[in-house]
Amino acid sequence: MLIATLLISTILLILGLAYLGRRANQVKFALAEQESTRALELALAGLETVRVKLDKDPQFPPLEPLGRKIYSYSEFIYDLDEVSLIGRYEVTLDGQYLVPPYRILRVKVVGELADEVARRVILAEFDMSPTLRHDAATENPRYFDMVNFQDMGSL
Amino acid sequence: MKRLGFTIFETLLTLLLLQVVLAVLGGLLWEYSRISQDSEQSDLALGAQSTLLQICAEVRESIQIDPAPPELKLVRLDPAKNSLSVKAGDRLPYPAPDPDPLASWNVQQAIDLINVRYYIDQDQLMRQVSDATTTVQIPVSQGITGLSASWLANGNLQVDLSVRIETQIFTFRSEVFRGLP
Repeated sequence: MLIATLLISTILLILGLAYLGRRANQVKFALAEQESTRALELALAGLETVRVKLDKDPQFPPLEPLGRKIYSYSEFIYDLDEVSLIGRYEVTLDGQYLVPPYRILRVKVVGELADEVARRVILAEFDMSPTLRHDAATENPRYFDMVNFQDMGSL
Repeated sequence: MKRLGFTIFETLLTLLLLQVVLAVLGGLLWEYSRISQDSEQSDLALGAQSTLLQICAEVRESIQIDPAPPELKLVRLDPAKNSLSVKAGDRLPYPAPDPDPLASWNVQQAIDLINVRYYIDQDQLMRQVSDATTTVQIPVSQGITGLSASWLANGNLQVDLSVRIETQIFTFRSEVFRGLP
């Protein structure tokens, strides 16, 4: 009787642990996906600020006045109560390829949730050539457009 | 004098307790089998949703999109040549170049592009990547029965992914905003 009881208890324990482990993995996966998506949205918000600043501010990015090729800034994002921190995005503008014939501005944006639970990185390129590269007399219809976009995942 | 064996009452009680334990065990086993089946179904659904997110992310990065159900064809920059920090072998020169106003360059040169094709093969969603020299195919998700993409009036792309869970077909849908011109 004792042996039978121990055997049954062991089987029950194994079944319980297997079930709990499986459910835990599913919950972890779903949570990670959710947090990753939120971090991506933060990164996209950062990219949107770059796009709007490029659109509205002729002095942006302030690379030449500072004598630099790289310009970086970061902003914290709070919830509607203006107290709870949601996360932040960090924008890095790389002006090394603003020279002809490339004339592109590379932008790296890192979206990061509060407590660093998730981080997503995106890379974008803006066309900064006012004229066509092979025809200097013709205006570039994609001037200031985002011409490349790449989701670099969780780096 | 020491008594040997069990009384009839002890035997009956033991059998009753054993019956109760076996009944509980049987119930738990049945429940576990049902939950285990549910978990497999959840895994398929989660896998399909995750795959849909990946497809949408890739659509967002693509410069040419050809929705031809049951396939989806994309043309995009080769991520292997477009590192976060430019390095040797990337599409941009490394180290950073000196200005050369006379040189010619294209933002999306054909040599830097790859063709991506999503299609279904025997309930598997496959992703085929081809460049000028090689073609590689890998399975992305299991249990997928349908893939459909279509342009919406607002210029967004709608992507549907169907997954078979037991006898039912579930369709997950997402809409992708195209940021690239």
